[in-house]
Amino acid sequence: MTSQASRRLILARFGLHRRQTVQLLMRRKMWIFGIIVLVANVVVAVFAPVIATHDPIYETHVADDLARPIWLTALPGFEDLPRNLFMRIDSKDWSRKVQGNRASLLKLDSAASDLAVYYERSGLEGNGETELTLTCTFGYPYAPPRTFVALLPIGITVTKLVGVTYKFAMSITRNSDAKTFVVYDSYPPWRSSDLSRLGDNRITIHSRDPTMARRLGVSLLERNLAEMIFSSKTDYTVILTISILDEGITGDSGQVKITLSPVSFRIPGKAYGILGTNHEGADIFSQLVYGTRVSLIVGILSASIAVILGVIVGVIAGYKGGPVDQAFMFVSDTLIQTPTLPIIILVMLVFGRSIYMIISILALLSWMGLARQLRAWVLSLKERPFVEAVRAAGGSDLYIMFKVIAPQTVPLLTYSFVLSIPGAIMTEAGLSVLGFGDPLFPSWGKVLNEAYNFGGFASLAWWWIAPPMIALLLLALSIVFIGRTLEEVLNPRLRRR
Amino acid sequence: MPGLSRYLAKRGSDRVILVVTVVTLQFVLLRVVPTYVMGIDPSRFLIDLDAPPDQKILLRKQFGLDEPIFPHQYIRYVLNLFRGEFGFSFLTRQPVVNEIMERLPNTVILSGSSILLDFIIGLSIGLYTATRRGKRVDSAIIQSSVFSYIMPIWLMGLILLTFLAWFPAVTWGIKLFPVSGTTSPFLPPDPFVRVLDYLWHLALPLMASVITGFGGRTYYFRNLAITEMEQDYVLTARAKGLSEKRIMRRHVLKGVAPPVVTSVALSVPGVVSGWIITETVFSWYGLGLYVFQAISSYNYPAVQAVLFIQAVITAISLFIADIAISYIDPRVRLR
Repeated sequence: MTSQASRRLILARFGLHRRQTVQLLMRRKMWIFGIIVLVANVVVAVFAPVIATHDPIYETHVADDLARPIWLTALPGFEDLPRNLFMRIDSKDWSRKVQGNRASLLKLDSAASDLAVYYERSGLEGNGETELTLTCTFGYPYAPPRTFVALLPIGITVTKLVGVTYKFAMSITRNSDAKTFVVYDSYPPWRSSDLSRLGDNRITIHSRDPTMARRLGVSLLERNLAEMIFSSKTDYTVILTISILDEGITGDSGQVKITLSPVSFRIPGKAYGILGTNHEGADIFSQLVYGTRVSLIVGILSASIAVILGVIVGVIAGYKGGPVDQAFMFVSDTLIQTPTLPIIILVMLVFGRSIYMIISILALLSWMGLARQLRAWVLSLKERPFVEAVRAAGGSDLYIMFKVIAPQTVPLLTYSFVLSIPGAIMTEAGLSVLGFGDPLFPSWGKVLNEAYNFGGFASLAWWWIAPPMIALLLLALSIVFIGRTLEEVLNPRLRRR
Repeated sequence: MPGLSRYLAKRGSDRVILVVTVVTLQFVLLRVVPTYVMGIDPSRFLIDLDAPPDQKILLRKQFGLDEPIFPHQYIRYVLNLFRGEFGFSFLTRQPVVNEIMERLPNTVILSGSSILLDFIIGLSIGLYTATRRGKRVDSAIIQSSVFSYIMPIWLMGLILLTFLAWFPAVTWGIKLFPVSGTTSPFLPPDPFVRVLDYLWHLALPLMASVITGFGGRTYYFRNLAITEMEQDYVLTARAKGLSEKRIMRRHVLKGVAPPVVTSVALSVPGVVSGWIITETVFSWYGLGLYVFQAISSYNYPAVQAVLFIQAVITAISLFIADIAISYIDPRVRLR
C-alpha cells in the first residue's frame, strides 16, 4: 500500500476527507500556535548538542555565579557589566626583562608554549643576584568584577648547586595610577628546594584567598579584592618576578631550571550567555535546551505506554464483560482513588531515581481514565453489525478486539494520547522540583529545584527562574491546544456543537 | 431501606479494600522488594553490623524478622498500622504518632479549606457562566480554565512566592506575604494575633491551590449545568414563569448536585497526594513536608505511617461523599 493510500485510509477512519481535515485544522489559531511551539521544541530537543554551548551537568563555572544574560549589556545601565576575560598567557605573550649582576648566566628558551629558563654555572664565578621579570599587559574595559583566578603552573629544579636560592612573586599593576598589588609571593624565605607546581598541581591564585588579603593588608570581610584591584577601566599588567640569589659558596657546576607552562588568568564575567548562569556558574541556556529532551521524552513515552495499557484494559474489559470486566474496572477504580504521588516517590525510593523509572511509574498510574472511556465505547461498538459479521465469518476474539474494534477507537486514542502528555511532563517536573528527579538528566524541574534550594528565588534571579517556567508552560499549553483541536475535529459530538 | 444499606455496605467495603491495597503495595515495596529482589536485609537499618551473631539472631527474633514474610510479617504489619502503632522515627527516636498528630491539623486545614474554596468558587462561577453561555464572560472562563488545567500547583506556588513574597521583600523590604512556614516566631500569646498570623501564612498556599484548582472544576460544572438546563423540566419551569434565579437555585442546582459531589470527592486523592509538593514548596509544617523529609532521610516508619494516613483520609472522604450522594440522589436509595 502506498503511503498516500494508507494516509487516506486513516483519515477515512476518522470520517473525514483529507482536504476537509486540513481546512478544519488550518482555520484554528490554537492549532497553528501549538504546532509551531511543539515543532520548535522537537527541533531544539533533537539538535540539543549543536544548540547548547555547554554540557548541562558537568560544565560549571563558565562565568561568574549568577551572571546575567549577555544581551542585557545592550540596554542602558548595564553596558559596563563585566564580560568573561579568560586569558591564556604563553611564552610568546610575556615580555621579558633580565636584571642583576649575574644576568649573563640566564638562558631563555621560548620556542615552545612552555617557557624554559636556565641559570647555568660552571664554576665559582662569584656571588650575585639575578632577576627575571615577565610582564603581560591587557585591557580591562568593564565594571569591577567579583572574582578573578590565576592558575600558575611553574616548576623550579635546582641541580647540584649549593647556596643558590630563589623566590618568585606575581603582582598586578593598575596602569592608570601605577598602583601595584602583590597577589602571590613565595618570599619569605628564599627557597632552595625544588618546586613542582605543574600540571594539575599548579599554584592557584584566587581573589577570595585570605592569605592574599593579608598580604595586601585588607580584610576579606570588608573588601572584595577583585573589586579593589580592577576598580577602573584601564590597562592592567601582570608581572611575574623570579629572583635567583647565588651566594657563591662552592664552585660546583650545575643549573637551576625554571619551567613556566601557559598561565591562565580568568576574570569571570557577570554577563554571560543567552540566559546567564546559575549559582555554580553553569550555563542556564544549555540546561534549558537539554531540558526539552527530558520533558518531551518523559511526556511522549509515558503517554504512549499509558495509551497502550488503556487500550488493552479498556478493549478487553468492554468486549469480554463479566468477571474480567469487573476485575479490570475494580483495579482501575482503586488506582483512580489512590493518592499516586506518594506511591511514585516510594517506588523511586526503593528502585532509585532513574528517568526510566519515572516514565514507567507515571505510565502505570495514568491509564485508568482512558480505559474507562474506551470500555464505554467498546460496549456500544461490539453490538454493531460489522462486528457481528466478523464473528459470523469466524474471526477469533483477539482478532475482533484488536483488529476490528480497536482501530475504530483511533480518534479517541489520538486526542487522549495528546492530552495526557502535559500531565506527565508536569508531574515529572514537579518530582524534579522536589529533588526526586534523575540527577543525571538536566530537566527543567531540576533547574527550578536548584533555583529553589540555592537562592535563585531569594536573589530574584529572573534569568534563572523564568525560562524553565515559561518553557514548561509553553510546551504544556501547546500540547493542550493541539489535543483540544484534535478532539474538536475528530470527535463528531463536539464538532456538531 | 435495604437498597441504601446494601449500597453503603458495598461502597464501604470498596474503601476498606482501597486502604488494604495501598498498605499491601507499601509492604511489597518496603519489605518484599528490598529483601527478595535487591537482597538488602531490613535489619541492617536497626542492628549494628558488628554485633555478635547470637545477638543479631536475638534482635532479629525480637523484631519478628525471622518469621516468614507472608502471612506472619504481613499480617503484623497491617494490624500495627490499623491499630495506630507506627513505631519510632529513625531520626528523632520519638513515636511517629506524636509527630504526625502535631502536623495533621495544619495539613487538614490547608487541604480542607482549599477543597472547600475550590468547590464554592467553581460551583458559583460555573452556574453563573452557564446562564451566560456564549457571552464574553463564558469564553473568558473557558480560556482561563485551560491555563488552570495545565498549571500545576507547585508552579503556581513558585510564581506566587516570587511575585508576592520574594519580590516585595527583596526590592522594597516589605513583608507582604511570608516566604515559608506556618507561624511566625516570637508571637505574643494573644490568640487573635496568632490566628491572624496563621491565616497570613495560609494565604499563599491557599491561593495557589484555588487558582490551579478552580478552572477545571468551573469548566466541568458549567458543562454539567448546561446539560441540565437543556432538560425538559427546566423548560417546564420556564413555561410556568419562574425567574431564572429561582430555576438555577431550586432546580438546576438540585439536578447538578450528585455529579458535583462526586467530582469533589474524586478530587480528594489528588489533593492528598499533592500535599507533599505543596507543603514542600511553601515549607508548610504539615504531613507533606514531613513525608518529604522522611523520604529524603530514609525514615521508613514515618513514610509508611503517612502513606497509610493518606490512604485512610482518602477512603474516609470518599465514603462520606458516598453517604452524601445517597441522600442527595434518590436514584441510589431506590436501587
